[in-house]
This record gives sequence, C-alpha cells and structure tokens, in this order.
Amino acid sequence: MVDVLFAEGTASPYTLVAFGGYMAGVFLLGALAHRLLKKGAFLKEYFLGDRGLGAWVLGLTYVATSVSAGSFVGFPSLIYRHGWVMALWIGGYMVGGLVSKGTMAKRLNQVSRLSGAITVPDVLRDRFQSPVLGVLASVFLLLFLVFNLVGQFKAGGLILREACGGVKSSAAYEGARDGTAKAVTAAGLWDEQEAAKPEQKGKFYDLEYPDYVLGMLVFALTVVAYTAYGGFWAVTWTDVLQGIVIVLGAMLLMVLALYKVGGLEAATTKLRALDTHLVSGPGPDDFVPVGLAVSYFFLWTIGAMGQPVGMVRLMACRDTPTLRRSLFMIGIYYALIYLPLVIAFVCARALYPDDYLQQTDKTMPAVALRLTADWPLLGGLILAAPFAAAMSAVAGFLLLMSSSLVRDLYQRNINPNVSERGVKWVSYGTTAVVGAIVTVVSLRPPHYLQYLILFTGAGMGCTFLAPTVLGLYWRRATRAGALAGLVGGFGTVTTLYVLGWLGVGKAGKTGPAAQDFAPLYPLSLDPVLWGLTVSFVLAIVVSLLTAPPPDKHVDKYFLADA
Amino acid sequence: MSQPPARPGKEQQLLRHARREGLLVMIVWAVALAWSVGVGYLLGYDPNREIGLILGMPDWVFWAVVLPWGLALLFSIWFCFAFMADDDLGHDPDETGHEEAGRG
Repeated sequence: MVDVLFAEGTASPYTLVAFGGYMAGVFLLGALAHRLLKKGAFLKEYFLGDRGLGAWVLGLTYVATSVSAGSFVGFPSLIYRHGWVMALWIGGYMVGGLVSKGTMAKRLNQVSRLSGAITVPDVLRDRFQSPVLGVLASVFLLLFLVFNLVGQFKAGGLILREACGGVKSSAAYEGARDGTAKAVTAAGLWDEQEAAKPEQKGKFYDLEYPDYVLGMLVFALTVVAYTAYGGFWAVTWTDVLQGIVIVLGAMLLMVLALYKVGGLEAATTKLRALDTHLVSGPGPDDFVPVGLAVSYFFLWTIGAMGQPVGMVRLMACRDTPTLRRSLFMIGIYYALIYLPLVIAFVCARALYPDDYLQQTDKTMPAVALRLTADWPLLGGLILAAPFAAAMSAVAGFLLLMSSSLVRDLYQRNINPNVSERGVKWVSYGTTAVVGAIVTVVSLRPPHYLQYLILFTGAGMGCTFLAPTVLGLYWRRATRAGALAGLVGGFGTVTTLYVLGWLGVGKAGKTGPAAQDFAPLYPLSLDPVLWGLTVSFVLAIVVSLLTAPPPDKHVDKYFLADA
Repeated sequence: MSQPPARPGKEQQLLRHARREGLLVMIVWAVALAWSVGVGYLLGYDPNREIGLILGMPDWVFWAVVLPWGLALLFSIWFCFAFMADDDLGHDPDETGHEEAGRG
C-alpha cells in the first residue's frame, strides 16, 4: 500500500529547512535526556523515566506514540477514497483515551510499583509468579514489534525521500545518493538497468529506490541514536515535540484545505456530486459495513487498552492528579488530530477529485505540498507531522523491545547478577542492535505492510489485555488462566490473519474482506473482536477450573493490610 | 470448580476506587458504541433517506460522531476533575522505607 508513496517529489528546499529544524530539536532533546540518566537505578530510569512523567508530558507522549505513520499516511488516503464514512470508522477515539486510561492507569501503575516491575511482561510475571508467562509475553511482544517497526521505518524512508525533493539536484545530495546506489547494487539489492525499464516506473524498486534507502538510513540513524543514547526521557521529550508537530500539522491542513475549497459545505456538496456513496455509509466499495464499524470501535478503544507501549507510559506516571489531567488532555489531542484530518481530506477529494485515486498513499504529502505551494516552510512543518508520528512510534517500540530483551529475558532469566554497569551497556547495545536489525530488514520490506501493522495492533491488544486486566482486578485469576488468555488471543488473531493471507473465505466478498492480504472476517467482524472474546473467555474459564493462587502471592496486590 | 476462601483483610482503597471508575468508563464506552454505530447506521446507511447538512457535514456524521465526541469530552471533564479520586500510588520496593505505602 505504501509502495507507491511519494513517487513524484515536489518539495522546495525550504521544506528541508523546516525538517532540519525539527531534526535538530530531536537531537538536542536526546542529548539533554542522556544527562538526566542517574547513576543508580539505571534500568528504571532508562526504561521508565523513574516514574516521573508529568501531565503534559504524559498526555503528549501517549498520543504521539499511539499516532503512528499509519494515522498520517494510511488514514488520510482512506478518507480521500471513501469520504465521510471514515468519520464513523475512526469514531472510537471519542472515548479512546478515557477507556485506556480511565480503566487501567491507576491500578497498573500501583501494581507495577508494588512489584518493582518496569515492563509489561514484568508485571505479568510478578503478579502470576510465572517466569514462563514473562518469557512468553516477551517473545510475543518482540514478534509483533519487529513487524510494526519495519512498517514505520519504511514510511520514514519514504517521507524523507519526499522532503528531499527540493534538493535532489544539489551536489551533496547527488553524492550521497550515488554512494547509496552503489552500495545497494553491490549488495545485490537493486539493479539499475532493471529499474530503468518503463514498466518499473512507480514501483518500489524503480530508479528512486536508492533515494528511499538514503531516507530510511537517515531516519533509522536519527531515531536509533537518540533512543539508545537518551533512553526513556529522550523518547518522551521528543514525543512532546512530535505530539505538538502532529497536532499543528493536522490543524494547519484542515484550515488550508477549508480555505482552498471554500468551506465544508462546498466540499460535501462536491463529494455528493462525485459519488453519493462518499457522503453515506458504508461508503464506496462497501468499505465500512456495520460489522466493521463495531469492530473498529473495539479496536481503537478496547484494543488500544492492551497495547504494551501505552501501558508502559501509564506505569511511568508520577501520581493520580497527573493521571487525571493527562486523561483529559488525551481526549482533546485525539479530537484535534482525527476530526481535522477527516475534514482536510474530504476537502482534498473535493479539490483534486481524481488525482490520487491510483496512488492513494501519496495523498497526504502531495496535498500538503499543493496546499502550501506559496508557503514552503509551512509545507515542511506539515510534512514533518507524519515523519514525527513515525519517529515517535519507532522510538517507543524500540525502547519496549530492548526493555523486553534486557530486563525480561537477560536480567531475569540469563544473568540475574549482572552489574549496574553491565546492564547499562547491554541496554545501549541492545537498543542499537535491534535498530540495526530492523534497518537491514527495511532495505527490502514486504509489500503488504499496512496489514501487518493492523495485525500487530490487533494482536498485541488481544494477547496482553485479558491477562493484564484480570490480573489487576480479579484476585481469583490464576497463572494457567493468564497463560490461556495470552496464547488464546495471540493464536486467534494470528490464525485469522494467516487464513486471510492464504485466501481462505475471499470468494464472493466485497470491500476490505476481498483484498489480497486482508484477514478472514468471520461474520463480518474483525479478528480483534474474536481475539478479545477468545482471550477473555479462556482466561476466565481456565482460572475458575484451576486452583486459586496462594494468598501469599496475591494479598499484597489486593489487601490493605497485607 | 473451587471458590476462593473468604479473606479477612480489607480491600485496598485504590482498588475500590479504580474498579468504580473503570466500571463507569465501560458503561460510557458501551453507550458511545451503541449511539455512534446505531445512529450512524440508522441515519447514514439508508439509501432511501435524504441526507441533509449540518455545519457543512452530512447530518448523520454530526449526530453519530461529532455530537457524541463533544459530549464525551464534556464527560471527561467531569470524570477527571470531579469523579476520579486521588490515591497514593505507592513506591517501588527498592525505595526503602516506603514499601507499605500504596496499599492503603
């Protein structure tokens, strides 16, 4: 889906100036964060910020991490193609922050403090007294995150390729691009003669492939460097900058689009004249049948509750007044991002009715650059928004992966007596090595990454939510029940996606269910709904069928006088 | 199927608060889901219905998404600043002298 993104660069050099300012800010915050790392309690500081997040920082880091490149690249293209029905598709975010924080934040934070846990697998392992559960949770987490990171790296590379459009003829850029072309040719990744054939134009491995690789390498080096060097504080501080850029980008796009089209009424009227399905449900191509509308409401709310990257931020919160204030701010942030995006790209369809129907992922950057043709610096700022979204998601995921490897697998299973200094260097090294591996995989990313990203979101929610929620609120939940919920949720989502990729149940289908790499939708419901149901039912039934956990293990989590 | 033995200890205050707040949020979530998808389906998915405009958007988008979104934000204000209780979150075990906090 993102393969054809940004095939034609139209950015001016000033676009890169705005980008440069943004990148300088990111590096500065990363360096400052490194100075904050204390000598003692390195792990808690590096991976959890010593539980010191304030309200503004917590709100912005939560939003920036949950809004990834998919929100700023994939979602606008879907609005452009399917019109107003996408407002219903994204509508779950009206209670997204409320559900994920209002139900879990306080209790998760308290339980993680009681056990000294700094990761989600840590919480599960300690609550259920099960090293197997901790290791299995870490392995599932790593699996999901690798898929997701490759998608974000790919989007980052494509966005930077577009941002460099205005400087491609400069000697410095040409030199770097030629060097990259020689390197990918020598590595057997690309053949210039093959890429020059007319039928390759617009495809991923066309003549612009070295530009993608160059952009992806710059993206990767930046994000891996500041994440590895500065740890949690670098990620959260840059998240704050990125969160502001994301909100500003969405608002600016909306204002400019409304101005150009002559108001929202004019845009909707034009859409209705183009195709009445653009202003009614289920939209063109039956894109949002009512079953999927229900499913997506679940995904953006209940599914989001189970995302470990969000849970870690809840564990890092300072106190409950901070939680209350940030919860409210998250609701405002989501409203300021998603509703403006819907309005902006409804207007974009009215302004440019047919321009991006074949290459829809080009919609966001192309529209941003066309709307800001007279103000290229503004264009650079808007284009920095999806880049910031990809970067903040990558940084959060990268830190989550290294924390799983260092804390859950290495320190707690392989070398419990590792020194503080040893932990420090293993943490830096692991973050850098994980980033390097994902960079190498991203040199030849799979074509169907959008579905892999959806798979990881649904998969993490269905895998982690039931064991975590039941562990927090139900003292009767047992280790066998938690294991059953974890494996059942993972297995259900994975099975439905793999069956869909194998083409099972596609005959006679229309809309999203008919697409090649879409999952299987039993009864027209998304795998997230089936995964959550199976996970909760298994966790509850198996817990009730097994012996209650010993009081000495659970009293401290539930009783005041334990 | 065995039942857990009755516990003489008192449940943590934070747990009681968190459970009460979580239940209310889930009720609001269910209402939002029913309202948004229900109204969207009734007003926006009927091919025979004439779709009007409110604030420049299709009327069903206003009633099914924008209005409940606004109400959800208003509810958030009340929930965060009038309903949600402040509790002591406690301390990590490595912070000596504070182990017992957070269980009250």
